[in-house]
Amino acid sequence: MIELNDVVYCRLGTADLAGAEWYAVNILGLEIAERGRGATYFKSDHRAHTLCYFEGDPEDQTTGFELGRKEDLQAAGAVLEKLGHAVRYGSKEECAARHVREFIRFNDPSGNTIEFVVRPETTSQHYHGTRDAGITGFSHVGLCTTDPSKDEMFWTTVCNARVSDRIGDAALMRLGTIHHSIALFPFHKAGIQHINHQVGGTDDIQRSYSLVRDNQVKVTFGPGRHPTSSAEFLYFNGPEGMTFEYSTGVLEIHDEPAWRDRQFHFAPRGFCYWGAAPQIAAFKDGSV
Amino acid sequence: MTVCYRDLRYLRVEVDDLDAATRFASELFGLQPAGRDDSHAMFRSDSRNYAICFSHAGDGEAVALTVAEAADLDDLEERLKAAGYSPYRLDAAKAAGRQAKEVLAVTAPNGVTVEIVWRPLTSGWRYHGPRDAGIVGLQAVSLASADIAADEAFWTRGLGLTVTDWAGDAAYLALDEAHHRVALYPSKRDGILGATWAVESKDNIMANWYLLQKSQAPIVAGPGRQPTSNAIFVTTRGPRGLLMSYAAEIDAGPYIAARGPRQFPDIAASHCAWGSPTEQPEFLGGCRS
Repeated sequence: MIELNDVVYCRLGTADLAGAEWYAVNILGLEIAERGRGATYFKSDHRAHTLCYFEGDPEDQTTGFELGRKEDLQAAGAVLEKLGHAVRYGSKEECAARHVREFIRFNDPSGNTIEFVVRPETTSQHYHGTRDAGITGFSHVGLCTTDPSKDEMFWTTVCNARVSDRIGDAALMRLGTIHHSIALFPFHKAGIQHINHQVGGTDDIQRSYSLVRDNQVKVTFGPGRHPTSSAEFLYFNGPEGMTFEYSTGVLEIHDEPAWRDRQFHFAPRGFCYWGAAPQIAAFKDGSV
Repeated sequence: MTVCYRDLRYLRVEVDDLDAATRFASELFGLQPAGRDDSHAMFRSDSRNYAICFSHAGDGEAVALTVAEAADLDDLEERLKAAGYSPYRLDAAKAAGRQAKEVLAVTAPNGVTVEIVWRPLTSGWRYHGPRDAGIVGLQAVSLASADIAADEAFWTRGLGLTVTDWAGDAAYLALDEAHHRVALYPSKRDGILGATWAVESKDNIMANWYLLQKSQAPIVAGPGRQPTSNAIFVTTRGPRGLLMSYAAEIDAGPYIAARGPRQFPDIAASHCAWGSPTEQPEFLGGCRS
């Protein structure tokens, strides 16, 4: 089994790098860590970067996961190859751009581009956003799945993910103690469904709700509270169809053997405890 | 003499249509019907036998405060007279109508009657709302004032409440450890502006917000957080334009009195720290009311 520590970054192609950068700084509230050739790297916590926008196809989306301390990249690559995944090792330049020691790149069963990385850089510099969004860090990613049972099998049997809860066929899976680091949403195609950043508290969610609306950015769900993870949330539109989420108060699962995954409705009551209804395609129609 | 009140007891609000007021208060807002006659409809929110009375008896709008001892009524009568106000006693029949043993009444500069009650009725049966709104009690009343200096003097020098904070000239008044039980807002009009009902938690604020929207009830303000009291709130409009709010997490404790009143700027952000939109003039600051 491939041991994963955490989700560490997302890489998103964009046809309008300046526009995406403006959004990430002024709406999302991230801090620019570095501007490279045709790419901008953003910080959200102590890590060197947790989001990258690069000039390219908006459909070109990658999610990075850190391998467990005892994992060997070659061994993980061999496991994946044996299962029929085409594995590519990152070049020296690609590793440098990502601030990681080494990484492999492959597609999950649905076709999402995934990178498993070793020794992603941590910095001594605090994240300090341009606006006071209260972000405490990049926390989880929602991935689209065209075959939920197959993808769930991949993450839970090939890797070490555990299902914390399910909303319909959407599995919310943990890698560590946080209720979910990966959420799989049934959809007609692969891709990143949403990118989550944690914020400090209710006030941050609610103040951002006003800021996002005041900037004519569409709020697609919330403010609300998930019955699954107990987190308060706000979902809103990002550039080129991306959905971003802020949340706070996510459940931590410390008693691993005692936890029982629960089945929730694939309906507003499975998504929000307060009565908010999602205006997000993958949350409204669970069919593949 | 320091005046010692037990609680903010009840409100009486004049309405044209008792049936419509009853539908709003119980079915939508979640208060429990607690007695009805031809001209009054009363509602419970906690162990009080009633916390709000809608009336079309022509008996005026009132806010009631409870005192512990009969002698407190005598002391307050003296104090109010000395401060230049004109308190009077209600006869036994009128006091019974208010569900209290004895009542001292006085008219505030904004025309609202303040009724000081001794031995108001407590119910032996617990409050059970018609729906799960999470209501735990009557928290506060908001008053509109066209002469804010006169009304603040009445409530402080006359009745003995303490200012805990100002937002512009809006004054928050305490009578116990809660940040405020009475809020005075400078306004173009006089009278009772609204009633605030405590709910268990933030979850109730947000769930009630979605329910109000689904019910097509107007959202006048919130969901928001009052930077002065720290209370999370959402406000709708009820019968005769009365603002009806749910609130949670209001500050309470002796540190509020120890800290003394703070002056917040005369801007909308002093009424909501979350930036929720409102068109209610009293919550906009900037002397726009």
